[in-house]
Amino acid sequence: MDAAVPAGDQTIWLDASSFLSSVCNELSVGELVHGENFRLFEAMSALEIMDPKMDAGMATTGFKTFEEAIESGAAPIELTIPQLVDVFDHILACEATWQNGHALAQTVFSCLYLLNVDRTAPNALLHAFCKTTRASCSMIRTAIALADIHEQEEDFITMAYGLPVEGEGDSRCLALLNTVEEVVARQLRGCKGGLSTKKKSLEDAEPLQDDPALEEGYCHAILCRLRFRKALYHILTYMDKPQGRGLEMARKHILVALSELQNIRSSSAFLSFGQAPDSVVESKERGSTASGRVAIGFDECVNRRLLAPTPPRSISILSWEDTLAYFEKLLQDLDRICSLPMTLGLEEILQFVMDYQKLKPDLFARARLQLLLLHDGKLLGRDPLAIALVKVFNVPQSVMANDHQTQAFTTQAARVTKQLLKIMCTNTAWQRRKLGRILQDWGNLLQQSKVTRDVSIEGSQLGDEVIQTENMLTAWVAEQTCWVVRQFLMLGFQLDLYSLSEFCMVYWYLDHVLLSALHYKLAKESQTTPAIDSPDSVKKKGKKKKGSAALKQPKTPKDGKFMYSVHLLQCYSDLCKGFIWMLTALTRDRKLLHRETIFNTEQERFFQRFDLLHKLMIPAPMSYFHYKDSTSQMHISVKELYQLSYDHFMAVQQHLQELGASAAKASELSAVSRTQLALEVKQMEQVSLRNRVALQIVHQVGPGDNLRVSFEFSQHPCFPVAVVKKS
Amino acid sequence: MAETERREADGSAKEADIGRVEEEDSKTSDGAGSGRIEYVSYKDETQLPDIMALIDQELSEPYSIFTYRYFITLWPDLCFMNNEQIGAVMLAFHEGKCIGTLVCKMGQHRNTFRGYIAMLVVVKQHRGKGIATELVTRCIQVMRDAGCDEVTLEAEVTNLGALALYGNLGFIRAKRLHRYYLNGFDAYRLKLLFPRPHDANRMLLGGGYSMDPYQMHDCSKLDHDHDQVLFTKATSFSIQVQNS
Repeated sequence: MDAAVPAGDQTIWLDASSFLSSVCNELSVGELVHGENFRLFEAMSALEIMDPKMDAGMATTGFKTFEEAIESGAAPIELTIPQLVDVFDHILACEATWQNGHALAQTVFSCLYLLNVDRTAPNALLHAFCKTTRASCSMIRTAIALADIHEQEEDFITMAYGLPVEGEGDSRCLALLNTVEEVVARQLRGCKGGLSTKKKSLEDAEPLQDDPALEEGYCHAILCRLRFRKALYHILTYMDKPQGRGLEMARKHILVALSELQNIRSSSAFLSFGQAPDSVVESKERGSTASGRVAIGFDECVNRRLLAPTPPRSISILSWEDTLAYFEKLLQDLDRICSLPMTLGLEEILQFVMDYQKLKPDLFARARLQLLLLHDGKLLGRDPLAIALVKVFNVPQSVMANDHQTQAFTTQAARVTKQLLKIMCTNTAWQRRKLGRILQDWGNLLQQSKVTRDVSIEGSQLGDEVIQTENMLTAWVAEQTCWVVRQFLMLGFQLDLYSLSEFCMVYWYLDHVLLSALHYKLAKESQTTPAIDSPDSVKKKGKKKKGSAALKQPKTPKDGKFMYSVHLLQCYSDLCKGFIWMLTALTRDRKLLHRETIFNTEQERFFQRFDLLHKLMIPAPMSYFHYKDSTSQMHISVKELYQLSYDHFMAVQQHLQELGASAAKASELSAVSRTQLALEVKQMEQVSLRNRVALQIVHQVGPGDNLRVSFEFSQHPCFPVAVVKKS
Repeated sequence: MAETERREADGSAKEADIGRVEEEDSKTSDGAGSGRIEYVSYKDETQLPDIMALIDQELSEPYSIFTYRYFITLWPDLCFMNNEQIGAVMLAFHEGKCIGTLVCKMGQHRNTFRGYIAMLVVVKQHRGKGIATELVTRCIQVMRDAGCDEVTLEAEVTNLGALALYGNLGFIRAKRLHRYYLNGFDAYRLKLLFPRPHDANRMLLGGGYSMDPYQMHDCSKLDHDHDQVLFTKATSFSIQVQNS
């Protein structure tokens, strides 16, 4: 130690052991010396060195260093072809595991060949594969780091901790890959040429292995893996081109990669042939190679000193089946990004991201999407967001040029919208938390849109145009805010945050949000009537409405554009109402039992759930008493409530037809959104139908019957199906 | 903001699988058959090895000695109970053997005074007797009486026993935390809000935004009304009763 850090002119090394032990003796049991800033976080982060549970370096099995592993012959450069295929396969499994959020050191770089790629040069096949793998991983890592939509540690670890993630000359990996591919392809042609040309082919190329009967199978197995590797590399390169310029080419390579993946999959039968039957069965479940054998040349222990200074995360490399499934899904998800029309407007883009997330894409796909949507901070890499927003606002040029408040508003709106787009690409659990946090920004934006009006009406000669602009902007913010709140509430179902006893209040609040969204959407589309009435006119309107019994039907915009979103909101709203009354009736009918809680009541839970929404002006905050008031309806019998719920589920059916028709016509939507809408129509049909059947059953039986009702999200992620059982 | 949340996340712990604990009524099972369970608060250092062994054995997350010390009464600013009866660590004994423990704390978190349950363990063979419920209930009572606004904790999404236990006590699943635990599982952040009778207005509508009457009726200003649907829709009866 003292040799490593030499004493300076003013310093010397002293043995402090006796001093420390005498100080320790002064402490009584349980006392601890600590700094003031040593709090829970530090206490939790502190590691006990040498405790294997916390100290990642304490795992004592396996090799201690890379050199030791190589010297013991753990990673021979001379590999038989079956061994080589195993190595290729296990590398793929490691890559998939890495992209699922595990440390590079424990996954891809557990491969001893990748730790020193230059070593592999004598084995051309291995060398080309390793170089391309390293280059691809580097591109993926860069993309994820740039997109910055991941939770560090939980989602993905961008730190390399000294691993050789970049190698010199990796850009030439494609040339190497092409060369070996050419050789193997020629060999395969030789095999196929049959007996007559066998002699000739043998002269042309060395056979890959000794058994001529297996030559063709192994050529196939190697070739599809090389081609998959190559296609993957191309996809990464083309998708990296700005403004979607490489997307078309990327799609072509995605097709190739998918078909090679199919070839890889079908090579499994050949590769696992001859393995002991029971070991094959076992390895099919756990093994990470097509053959089911354990690949040689992997050892994560050599990297243990390179791990992050945190307790080691438990890790198991994906199975071969899961690996193939991962890449298949990744390619399909990437293809959906590549199919995104570069002409989409902001609204359709938001719709696309929402629909895309419903397909549960993995991190890398979401990162790629984010990079495409916000390349250089511009929408689709072209327009700065403020410019894109001006198009959406449809503000007259004269106002935009002269009204500073409108300009300032647009700048703020661009900032918040950009944030929203980015958040929409994160994992859904994090997304919901982040949406909750930016709600206040949208609330502030709404206030800012109002400030604009107050100031500019007096000072500007543009008069009407400014007021109209004002209404436009307010309606836009209001609609967007409702959109965020809707996403916030609906994600809660997907993340399984709500318990059954909360369903009714959530649907009630969601319905309120949906109707607000509908109102502002129509206000914005019609672009004529002021979106926000003055308090006076509101009062009058409110009074008038109270007397009327008719449910006000929203006005419909003249052109067909956006009709699908209007219909979708109506369907959601109908479903919400169906559930509100169904749940209310079931509770009163004692077919749903909610336990009393000793420490608080439903009122506190209501407050907790909607606390963030209460800080917004739009959608108007709704209190617990309002909720209780509108759902208690004690003067209506249970049977009538069942009927009411049934009617709403019937109304869904009606609106679903309209939605189906308008969705088919919505040419402005992306293919992904159209497919998702069509799927959702089917899902909602099932929800509506099955719940009506359940309602019929509970409607028929008397109060004495022992029926219990539970809810399952078997059809739609946000709207369950009631399941009635005799108890 | 994010940083604070991370800190909070990092400073958290994991609930052991407490099995079917929610099914049992703690009062009846307390003295039934297998002997009495005795609940005591943390007294001194001699109990620490017991607690650490229990938690090490049942929970997957590793905790350093500092973490235990943090929660235990050694640091005055962190020790919430001067009250001798229940400390930051509670233990359940059965025939002189420590079979369950709860580690918790109280403190200021942003604008709230918040209780936090860090660890809860009941050994396998004593689960299903309501011991965990009893430990948690006692702990929450102390927190409430000490003036906490809320209680929070994290639990694994797959730990249905714990989720049911806390759900029955009034906790909501406020957030989901992606791959929170070292074993790769997600967690829920659970929260229990205490009633605040002295501040009724806040309960009605929430903190930041105060509503005036005009906004109260905002709903009717929009083209929708929650209540009126009822009176128009409930007039016709058309559920077709299926022939059985």
